[in-house]
Amino acid sequence: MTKRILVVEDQEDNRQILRDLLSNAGFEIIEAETGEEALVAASSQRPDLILMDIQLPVLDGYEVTRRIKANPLLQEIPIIVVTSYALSGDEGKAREAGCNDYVTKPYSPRELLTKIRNLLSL
Amino acid sequence: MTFGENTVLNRLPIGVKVFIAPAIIIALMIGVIVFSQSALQRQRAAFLEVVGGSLTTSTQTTQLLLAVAEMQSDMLRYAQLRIRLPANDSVLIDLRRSIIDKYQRIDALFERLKSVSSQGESDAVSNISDFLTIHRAVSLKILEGGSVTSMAVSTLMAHYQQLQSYIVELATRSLESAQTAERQTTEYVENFSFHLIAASFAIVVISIILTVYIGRAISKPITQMIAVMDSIASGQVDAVVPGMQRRDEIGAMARAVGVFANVSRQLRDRERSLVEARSLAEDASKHKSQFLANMSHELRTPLNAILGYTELMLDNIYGEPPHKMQAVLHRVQSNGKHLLGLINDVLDLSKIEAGQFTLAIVDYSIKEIVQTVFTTLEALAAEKKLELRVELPPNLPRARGDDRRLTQALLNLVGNAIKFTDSGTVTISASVHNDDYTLSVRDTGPGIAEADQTKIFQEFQQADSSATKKKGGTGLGLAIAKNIVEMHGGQIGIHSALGQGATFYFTVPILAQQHSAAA
Repeated sequence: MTKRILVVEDQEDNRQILRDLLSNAGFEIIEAETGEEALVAASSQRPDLILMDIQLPVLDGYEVTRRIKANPLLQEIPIIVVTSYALSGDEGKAREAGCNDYVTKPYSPRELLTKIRNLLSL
Repeated sequence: MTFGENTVLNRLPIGVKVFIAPAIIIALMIGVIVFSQSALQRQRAAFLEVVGGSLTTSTQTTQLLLAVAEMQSDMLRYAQLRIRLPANDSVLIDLRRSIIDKYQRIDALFERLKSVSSQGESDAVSNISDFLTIHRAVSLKILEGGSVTSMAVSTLMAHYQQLQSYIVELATRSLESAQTAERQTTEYVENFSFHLIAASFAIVVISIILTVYIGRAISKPITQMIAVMDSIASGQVDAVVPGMQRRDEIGAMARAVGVFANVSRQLRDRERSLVEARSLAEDASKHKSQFLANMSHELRTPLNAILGYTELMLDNIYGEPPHKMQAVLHRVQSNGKHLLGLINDVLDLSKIEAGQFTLAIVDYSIKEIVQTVFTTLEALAAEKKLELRVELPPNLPRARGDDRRLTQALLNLVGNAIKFTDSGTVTISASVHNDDYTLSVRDTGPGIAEADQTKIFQEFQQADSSATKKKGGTGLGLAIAKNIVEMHGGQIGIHSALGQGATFYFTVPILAQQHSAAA
């Protein structure tokens, strides 16, 4: 059965890379450009994994992660936080919000794919 | 009491003011003493005149009374003896002579009495004079007469008694006048002593008032001045200094305090502008750090797309690229990673400047650090046909510190060595001394002149700016390495001479703790 991955990312280029990478690897992709869209998509389509960009307008990735992890129906969904914040404490903040893994931009698509496969036990 | 700016006291020096009260008190004392002296002299004269006169009169009167009594007694004896003895008897002759002598003495005494008696006693004195004359006439008649009759004796007695009563009266009067003088003297002395006490009391009161008044005139402005200086010292430099117009020492002091206040105001203003300038500089530095952090972050997003697409292409996601294009894609990837390294350097520097650069202290292996660096840069060295060598002693100890940061520091040193060396060898070696270990990177490059050796550890500095153009680089690598080493409590350095290659090294404690950055 094809696994569905929710990509939360406000930048078209980065969404395109993930689209190319993940569809090539045989995943189904759902996309969200804002935190609100991500919350709606998460509860309505129940993905198997979420790739969460941190820098989003209005509702940031930390807050979206916190809300999903606080929802008993959704909290089992693994979340990988993708951030370009390379300041110290960013990883701690992401972990606090409840993410399952963490990558810093620029990430290697190859390595990201490995992390996704690990979390989905593929 | 007020101390206005224009009172006479304000014009006198303190040295003079201090003597005003004692001088006035001394003058008053001298006045009282002189007055008392003259009053006593006058009283003494009055006393001598009244009391002295009465006393002499009373003494003379007594002597006269005694002399008259003696003479009377002689007369009575003569009268008795004359009845039994003839007139020419030797006893009678002697007695007569004695009586005559006594009269002469009485005369002399009376003359003295007259001379000392006062005006009020003149009637008594003339009465005595009259009866002395009569008594003497009667006595002479008895002494010269042939026989003594009882009639003559009783006449003598009667006159004697009258004479005695006058003398006693005179004595009584002079006694009375002496008593009056005594009473007056007592009154005068009491009166005088009352005034003396009153005057002394007044002097004491005046002295106290004067001393307090002048004391306050001296001390109050000084107290005010001290209060003003205190408030200036405590930072209220705009305090108004009173008494600058005065002509005494207080005025001089006030003008000096005025200078002090001016200097304090200038110091405060200067300090304010310094604080302002510093806060502006701090703001600017904060803005710069924030800007660098933001820039570094913004640059990562497009770089992510560049590196991401390149990797996808190299992984044949879009089909296998032609061989020639693969080589180009590798170059794109390698340059993209280099750009990432530069962005990371800028971010590290902004963290260092913002004080956000902290160490994550963990247990690590020195050998692993060296191996990571070797693995990372082996390909780069091979590309330049350089030999990259590692010389490690056996049994390197486990260490504590931030292994990721120390790896970064060593990467910077080895990366620089490879970058600036055109041929030969780059050697990484390690050694342990007591509680520290040293990692060294020796190259066979051009070397660095002694004058440039401290400069190269500063931000944005390179030894030879033409080298920068040829070799690239931001000049941040050594500055960041220096910070990492110093935050471990270690030291970074270089041994080199132009044309003889260079050895960069750093020494850190085997068990390191977080130190504050020196940058």
